[in-house]
Amino acid sequence: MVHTVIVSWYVSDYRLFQNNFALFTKDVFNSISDLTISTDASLNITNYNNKTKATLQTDASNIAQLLEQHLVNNQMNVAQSIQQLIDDQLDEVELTLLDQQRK
Amino acid sequence: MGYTFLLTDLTDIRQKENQLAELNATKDRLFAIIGHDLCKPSLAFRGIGKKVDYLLKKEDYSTLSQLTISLEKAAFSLNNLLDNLLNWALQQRNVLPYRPQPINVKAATAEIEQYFREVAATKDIQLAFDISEQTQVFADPNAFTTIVRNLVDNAVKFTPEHGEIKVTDEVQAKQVVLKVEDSGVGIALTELKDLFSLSGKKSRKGTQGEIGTGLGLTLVRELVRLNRDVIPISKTNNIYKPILLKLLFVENARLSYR
Repeated sequence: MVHTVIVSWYVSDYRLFQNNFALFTKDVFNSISDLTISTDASLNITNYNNKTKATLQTDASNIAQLLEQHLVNNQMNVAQSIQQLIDDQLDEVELTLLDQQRK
Repeated sequence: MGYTFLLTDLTDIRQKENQLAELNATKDRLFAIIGHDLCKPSLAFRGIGKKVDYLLKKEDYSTLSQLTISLEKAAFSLNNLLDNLLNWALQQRNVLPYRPQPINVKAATAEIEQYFREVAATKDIQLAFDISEQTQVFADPNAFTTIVRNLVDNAVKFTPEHGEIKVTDEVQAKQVVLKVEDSGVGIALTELKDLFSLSGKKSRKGTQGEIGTGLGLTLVRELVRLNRDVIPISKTNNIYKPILLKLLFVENARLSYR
């Protein structure tokens, strides 16, 4: 249902007002209340929403690097965990992060 | 090709899980309290009719007299525990009645003094209630007596034979401080953090193996919280003052440090 709504929004608003895919993606991401980050195949960050920016203030270019900067302890190998997600070995990974304000 | 990652904040879920775990642990602990402590005094009542009948037929009034004292203690203990359980349950549901009013401390603690004097005597503990007849406080009577009863009970439990317990009152500035001082075994600083928590605390036994449930002090903490925000009222030549329940407790805890 949620997916249908997003597509509908895409059809109506994107064609009328947007001509840039990155901007459109950003708008869609910003409509999501969770932190949303897109990357390329090398896990370099290509887009993120405002919630991500507000919560994880950083200039990191790689998602693993970004998350590692906010880990409560840095013992965990985030890149390895992400790779397990990509390879479908894990459904989800739980990390304990500190946001910028609390850090 | 690329990926999109969603990072969901689980903080609230984890906090609720922790609260649930704590509630569950508290429930388990309550079952343990009921299982151990409620059974013990109630055993005193088992077969009481036959015992009384036997002693009457035997005309052994001395033993009968001892039996009544023993029963009185068991009944008080049972009543104390049930009262604590009821108050705790009400507090958990946030429906604990709170009706503050002027209380004469001496009169309000008279029954507690009478009962614990007998209990203390069995351990040869000198129990002194040195309270002025004029001292009045503004607090909820039920909460007040529950606090004093639990603090004195705790003091008796953890004071060795031939020890000393003093309950005194002192007017400080605009407050009345009621102190429960004892020469007891005290508590290690490392155990202090769990002193008021029902879920994480391990039961401590008294100097004669008395079981410590932890319910009493947990209840005291909640009742102290309840009575802290009382509004002082005054009266000519006989000033009603809010009892400094926080100080009442802190003073007691401090005396128990080791």
